[in-house]
Amino acid sequence: MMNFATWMRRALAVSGLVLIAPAAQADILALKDGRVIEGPKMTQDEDFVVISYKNGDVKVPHALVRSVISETAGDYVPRTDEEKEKYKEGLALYEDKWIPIAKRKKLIEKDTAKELEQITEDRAHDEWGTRRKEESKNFRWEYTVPEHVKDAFVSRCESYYEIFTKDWKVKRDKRKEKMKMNFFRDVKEFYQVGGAGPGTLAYFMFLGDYDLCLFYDQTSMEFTEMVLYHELSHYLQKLLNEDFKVPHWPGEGVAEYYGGALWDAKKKKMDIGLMQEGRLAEVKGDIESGTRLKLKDVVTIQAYTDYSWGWTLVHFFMSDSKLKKGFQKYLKGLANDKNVKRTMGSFNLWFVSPEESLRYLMECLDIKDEQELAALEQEWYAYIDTELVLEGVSGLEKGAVQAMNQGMRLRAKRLFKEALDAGSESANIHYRYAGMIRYEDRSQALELMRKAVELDPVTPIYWYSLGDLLEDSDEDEGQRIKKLAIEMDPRVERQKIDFSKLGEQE
Amino acid sequence: MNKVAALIALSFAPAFAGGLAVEEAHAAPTVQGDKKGYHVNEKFGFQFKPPKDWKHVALKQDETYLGAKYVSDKTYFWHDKLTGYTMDNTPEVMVICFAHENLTEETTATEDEEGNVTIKWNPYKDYDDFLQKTFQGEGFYKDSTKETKVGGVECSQYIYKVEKMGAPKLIHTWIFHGEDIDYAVQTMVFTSEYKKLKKTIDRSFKSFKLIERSGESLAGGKTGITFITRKDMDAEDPKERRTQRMTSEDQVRKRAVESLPEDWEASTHGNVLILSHVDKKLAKRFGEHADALLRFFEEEFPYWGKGEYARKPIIRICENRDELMAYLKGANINTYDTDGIPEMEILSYKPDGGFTGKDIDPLNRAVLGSWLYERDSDLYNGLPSWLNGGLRYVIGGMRLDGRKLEFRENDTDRQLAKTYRGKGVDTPPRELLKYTQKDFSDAGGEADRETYQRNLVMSYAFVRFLLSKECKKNKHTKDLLETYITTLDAVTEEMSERMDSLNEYEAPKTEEEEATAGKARAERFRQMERETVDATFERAFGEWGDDEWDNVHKTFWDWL
Repeated sequence: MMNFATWMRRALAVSGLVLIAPAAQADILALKDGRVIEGPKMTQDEDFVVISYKNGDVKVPHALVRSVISETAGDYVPRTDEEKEKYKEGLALYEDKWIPIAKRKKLIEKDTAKELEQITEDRAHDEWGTRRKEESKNFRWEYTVPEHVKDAFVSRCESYYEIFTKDWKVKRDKRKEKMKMNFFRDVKEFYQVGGAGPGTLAYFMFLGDYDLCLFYDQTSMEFTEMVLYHELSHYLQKLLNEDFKVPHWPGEGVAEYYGGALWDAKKKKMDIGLMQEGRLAEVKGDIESGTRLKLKDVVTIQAYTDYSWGWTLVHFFMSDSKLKKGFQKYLKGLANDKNVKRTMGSFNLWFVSPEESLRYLMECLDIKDEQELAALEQEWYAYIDTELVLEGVSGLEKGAVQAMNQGMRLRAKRLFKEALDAGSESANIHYRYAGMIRYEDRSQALELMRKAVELDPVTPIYWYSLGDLLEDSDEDEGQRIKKLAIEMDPRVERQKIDFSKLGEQE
Repeated sequence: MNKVAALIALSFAPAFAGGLAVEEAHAAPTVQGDKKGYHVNEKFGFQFKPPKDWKHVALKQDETYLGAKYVSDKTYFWHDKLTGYTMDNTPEVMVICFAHENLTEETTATEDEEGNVTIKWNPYKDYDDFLQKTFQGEGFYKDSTKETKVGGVECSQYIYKVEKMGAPKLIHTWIFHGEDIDYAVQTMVFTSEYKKLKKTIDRSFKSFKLIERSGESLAGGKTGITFITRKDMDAEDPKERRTQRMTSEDQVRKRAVESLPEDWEASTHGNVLILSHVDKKLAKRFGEHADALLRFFEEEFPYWGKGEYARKPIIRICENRDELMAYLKGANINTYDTDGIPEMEILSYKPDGGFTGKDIDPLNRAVLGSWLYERDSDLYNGLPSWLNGGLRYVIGGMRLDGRKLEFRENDTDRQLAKTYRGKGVDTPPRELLKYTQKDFSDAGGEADRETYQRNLVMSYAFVRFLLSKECKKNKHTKDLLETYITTLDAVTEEMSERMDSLNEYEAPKTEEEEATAGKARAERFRQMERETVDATFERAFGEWGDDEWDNVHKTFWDWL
C-alpha cells in the first residue's frame, strides 16, 4: 500500500506523467470482480495480461480485467485484424471509437490515474477501522468493499426495496434511521468484525434501527446477491409490522423465495422468484429417500426444512394468482389482522402460535377442512415434481455443490459431471469436482484442475491444487506450481480442502 | 439472529482429553515475586504493577505462554435497552508472550524417531493471530494504533472495538517489543466504563519493564517423560492399565503443584489433592468432603468397574466465582472452555451460600463423574437417562455432616413425585427402567418438555429411593440397582462389538442408498439402544412378574 500510495503522490505531483514511475514500482492489476493484484511485473499481449512471478507466468484473459496499471499500461496492442489495420493508419480503439494513438495514450493515462486513485482510496478503507460510510435512498452503508462493488449493490438493493415494498404495500418508517448495511470485503473480516460463527453467510439484527451484515464473495457475485436478498427480505418482512415477529415459516420460506433473485445489469431490472437449486436439491433428495413433509408440519413445526420445503411452499403459493393473493393476505394479516390471536413474547414483540398460524392460513386460502388441506398438499407435491426442476448449467452446478455439502458424494459426482457436460464454465466447479475424483481418476482430475486454472488464473488455491496433483507424475513441475501459488498468496496452504473425503464417515 | 445476553455455562466435569503421545513440555514454574506490588516474571523477563486490589489468577498447565493474569476486584454491568438483558464483565489483565523467530528452535514442535512430539509452547504466531483465534462470538476490529516508547521499550498501542453481537467493549492492548519476545499486555472493558478505568489501566501498563531473564527454557525442554494418554490408560492388560494410571496420576499431580502461584496452597486430604486459594479451614472442608464422597462410592458401588484403578482427583478451589471464570477463560479473552484443564482436575470456588448451599452440587457431580468414568468409562457413557440424571442429582445434594455423608432432604423431587402419583401421571419404575432417550421425552410420538420434566423428577425420586435405607430393607429393591448396573455392564459389553460394526463405514453404492444412509444409520443406533435397554431389563428382571413389581412400586410409593 505504501508502495503505490507513494507512487500515487509522485504521479499526481507530476501532472499527467503518471507512467514515469520509479524502477521499483509495483504493477497493479484490477479485476472486474474487485480483486486487486499488486507487485509482480505485468505485460500485455493480444489475449492476456501476463503477470510474471518468480516461479512462472500467470496469464489473465482480458475479459476478467478491469484495468492494468503498469509502465506499459498505455501501450496499445492491436488484437484483431481490424485493429491491426487501423493501427497502421495511426488509429487506436478507445471505448468503441477510433482515435489517434497519441490521444488514446493520454486518455488511458488519465483513466489509469483515476483508476489508481480509486484503488488507493479503496485500499485506504479496506479495514473496518477506516471503513467508508454512505447513505442511499433507503439504506445506510458501512463498507470495506471496493467502491464499484458497493455501487453495484446499492442499485440492486434499492431496486429490490422498490419491488418488495410495491408488491407487499409496505414502506419503512421515515422517522427511524435507515437500515444499516455492513458490507465486509471478505469472509474473514465478516467473521472477525461481524462476530458471526463459522458457516454463517450473513445475518440480520432485527432490533433497534436494524443491522444487516454480509461479506462479498469475490468468486461469486451471484452467491453474494442470493445471500443479501435473503437477509434483506427479513428486513422488508419486518416492515409489515415492526412489533411483530414473523414465524420461522413463512419467514424463511419468503426469504428464500426473494433470495432467488438476480439483477439484470443490462435491463437494470430485478428478476425474483427464480430457482433455488441448492434448496431444490435438498427437497429432491428427501423425496428420493422417501420423505415428503406434510404441509401442516411446514407451517407449524420450526425446522431447518423451512428453508427448503418452506421455500417450495412459498414458491407454490406465489406462482398462482389466487394462491398468491391468499398467501399475501395471510402474511400481512398474521402481523396486523385484529382477528389473529397474538401473544407478547421476547424483546417486546408479538408472536403467533403455530396452531393459530395454520388456522389463519387456511382461512386466507379458503381451505375449510382437513380434506381440502390434504388436496392442497397434493397440488403442492405435484408442483414440486413437475414445476420445480433442476435445469440449466447453473442449476446443476448449485445442485452439485449442495449435494457435496450434504455429504451425498455419489449424487454430487453425477451432478458435477452433468454440469460439465452441459457446458459449465465455472472454475470453482472444475476445482471441486477435480478434488472429489483425484484418487479415482487422476488424469481426469488433472485435466479439470488445469481448466479451473485457465478459467480463473488468479485464484491461488487452484494453482496450488494443480501443483499438488502434478507432483505425483512430475515432481519438479508440481513443486514449481505450488511455489507459484505460495507467491500469489503465502497462506494458500490453509485453504486446502480435501474434497475426496467430504461425506465419508469414519 | 438474536442479540443475546452473554450466558455463561459452567462446566465442572473433567475434560477427558485423548491425544498424541507427546514428550512432556514440562510446565516449569513461573517465578513471580511481590516487589512492592509488582508482578515479577523472571522466566519471561518482565515485571509490571497490576491495578491495585486486582487478584492474581492461576494459569492452566498448558498455557505456558501466559506471563501473568489478574482479575479486577469489581464487576461492571451494561444494560442493553433493546433486548432488556444486562451483561456483566469483570476486567482482567493478561500478559501474553510471543517469541521472535530467533527463538524458533526452542519453541517449535519437533518430532523424534519414536514419534514423540514437542508441542510449540505458544500456538499463536503473534498477537493478531492470538486475538483472531481466541476472541469468539463477538465482532472486533482494530480502531487505533500508536507506535511509541514506554520506559525506553518500543511499544505498539492498540485499541480494538467490540461492537457486534455483544455489549460494546474496548480491548486495550500494549505490545512491548523485547529483544527476543513480544509481550502483549491486554485488558477488555465495557466502552461505557473505559473513561473511568483508563487512568488505572494506563498506570498499570506504563509500569511494565523488561528485566533479565532467568535463562529457563520457554518451551520447558525435553524431560524424557512420556505423557500418558487416555489410550495408554485403557490398555488391554489390567496390570498395564493400573501402572499407566498411577503414573499419570503422579505426573499430573506433580505438575499441578509445581505450577501453583505463590499465594496458593496444596494439601492432601485422604485421596484428594486440594489446590487452594481460600483459607486452610475451608480447603480442609473441601478435601474431607470430596474424600468422603469417594469412600461412599467405593462402598455403595463396589461392583462398578470392579478392580479398576481410579485416579484420585485434584480439586482446584478459586477464591471466588470471578476467579474461577477467569481461570476457565484462560487465554481466551471472552469465551470459556475447559480444554486446557487436564483430566482429574475439578474446578470449584468458595461457595457464596456456604458449604451447604447449592454451589457445592457441581463439585459433587464432578467427583462422581470422575470416579464413575475412571472405573468404567464404557458403562458411564452407556448410562440410561433415568440413572444418569438421577445419580447426578441425588449425589449432587450430598454433604458431609461431621464424619457422615448425608443426603439433602429438602429437595423437591420427592414431593413432586408424590404429586404426580396423586394425579395418576407418574411413571412407575417398571416403565422407567425400559425408557430409551427418546421415550424419556416422548408424548404420543412427539418430544414434549412437560413429559421430559416429569420423567426427570421420577428418576430423581427413584434413585434417591434406591440409595435409601428403606430400599435396603425390601427383598426386591435392596439389590435392584446393583442387578441393573451389572446386567447393563454385561449387555453393553456384548453390544460393543455390534457397535463397532455399526461404526464401520461402508460406502453406499447407489444414490438411493446414499440418500437414506444417514437416516438408516440413525435408525440402527436407535434400534441398538432399544435392544440394550430391553435386554438389560429382561435379563435383570425377566423372572419377575406383576407381584414382584407391585411390591417394588408399593415400597417406593410408601417411601415417597
